[in-house]
Amino acid sequence: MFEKIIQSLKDRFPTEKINFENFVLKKEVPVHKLSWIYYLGGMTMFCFLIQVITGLLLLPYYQPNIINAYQSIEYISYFVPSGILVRNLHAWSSSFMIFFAVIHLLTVFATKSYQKPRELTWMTGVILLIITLGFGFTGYLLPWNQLSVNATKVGMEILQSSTSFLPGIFKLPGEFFATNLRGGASITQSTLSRFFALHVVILPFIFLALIAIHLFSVQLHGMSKESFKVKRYEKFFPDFFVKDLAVWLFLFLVLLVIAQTIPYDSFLSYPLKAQYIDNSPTPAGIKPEWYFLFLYYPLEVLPKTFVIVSSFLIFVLILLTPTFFKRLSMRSHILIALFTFVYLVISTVWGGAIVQIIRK
Amino acid sequence: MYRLLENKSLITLVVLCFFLGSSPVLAFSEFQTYIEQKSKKQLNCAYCHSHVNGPNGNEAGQLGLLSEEQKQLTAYNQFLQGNKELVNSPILNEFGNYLVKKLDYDTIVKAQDDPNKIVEGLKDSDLDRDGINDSEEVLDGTLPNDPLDGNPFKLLLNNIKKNCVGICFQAIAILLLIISLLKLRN
Repeated sequence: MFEKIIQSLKDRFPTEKINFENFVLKKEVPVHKLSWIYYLGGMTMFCFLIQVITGLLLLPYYQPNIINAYQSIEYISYFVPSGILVRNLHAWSSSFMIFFAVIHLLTVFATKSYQKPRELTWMTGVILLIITLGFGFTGYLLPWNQLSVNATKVGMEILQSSTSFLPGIFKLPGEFFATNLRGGASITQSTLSRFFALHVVILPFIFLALIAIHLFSVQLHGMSKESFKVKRYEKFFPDFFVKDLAVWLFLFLVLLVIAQTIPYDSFLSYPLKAQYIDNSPTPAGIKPEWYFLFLYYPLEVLPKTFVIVSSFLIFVLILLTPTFFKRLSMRSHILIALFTFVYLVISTVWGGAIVQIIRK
Repeated sequence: MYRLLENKSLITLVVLCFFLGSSPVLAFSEFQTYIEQKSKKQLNCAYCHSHVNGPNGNEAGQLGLLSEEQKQLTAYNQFLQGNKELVNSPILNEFGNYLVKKLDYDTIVKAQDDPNKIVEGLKDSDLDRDGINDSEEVLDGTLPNDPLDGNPFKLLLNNIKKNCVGICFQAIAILLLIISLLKLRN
């Protein structure tokens, strides 16, 4: 039993490969029709780097208290030189990061790149995506406007009721997590402080630790090539590395132009952007960020318990993909990935309209 | 009664009071309804007023808390004195005050029956200088006094026009960097 575990760990962490030669000089990247998918992980990481840098630039100006949070965001947007550019870069790159992370996950799944010995790479990747969504959820509250506070209320209610259908003590976790995240029964200063701490300290630390394992294991096992017709190989350094940098630079240009020309908040109508004031009427149109809509709209029309249980099961299924799906053919993998992609696009873009039709 | 009706200044005062002063229709709900119908967005009084619930009340930005000095700055009082340029009403936001200064008295009065008059009166103005004129912003239901609020597509086009040179230089610099990086490979 123990021998099996040790052997399995040895397969996943071949320590003899940990040297400069293997990591840099000898490392090769396969070239084939779908080589572009190798850049998706790097693009996700680049967006994270932008998040870190712009987040650090915003940090001295943002005030995490319910009286000044909104004003500090206004101050950043209208008075700090280039403040709006930094804020827009932060917001746009968060959306780009989630977009690339999801596409990265789907392509890795479709090409069965999670197979032995890359199971740990897959699992850390899935958890990294969940943490990225956590960054989005905690960051959403920070501007302390009508939308952010009311949407967080809805999110917390969903979390609270997530285990309420279970019997006995099993119903407690949802309420426990919701109460502790809020720091009480409702959204107050305690919630803002906790979300701020999660957004700028706790989640980044966990993220950095996991991304270190993720990258280390990618570097250790190299790029997956089992599912492709490899034409040739190119050196990781400098060939692939330089191309990766070029892709990053191009992505930066796209982000920079978007951040300069489309204020991220311009997609919201103004009552939603107004400062949150206790007991003020809740404006219409409260909904989460676009990357939660795939979960939000089903919650609007289907029984909550059903959506929560199936979401949890799907999460476990995704996390344990290397166990559950390894026997499925490549064709089935591509079909599942395509179906997921189509579902995500339809629910995100047309979900609202579909919900309205169903309600009529 | 007949004499009272003959007194034009009294009628003016009553009408102004109705629209801009301390009457219950202070929030000019016809204009709000008109914008909501056109933009298909739900708005509130903060579109023109300082307070989200409009001018009636005893909170900051509402009539109940105004000092005598502040009351003198309201549109109603300044109109009465013929100084519409001096309107700086604490119950109105930047756009509300701008609207009162920009449009003449008749337009504001007639706008209750035909809110489109206000939109027409704003065709040549762009309060926040975001490149989208105020009448378009009103029809889109976006804030005419916030350069960061506007139809995203219109903002994109206007900001590209406005920052064309800067964006071109950025693109050239980054593309040159990419080319030199790729050359490094060889």
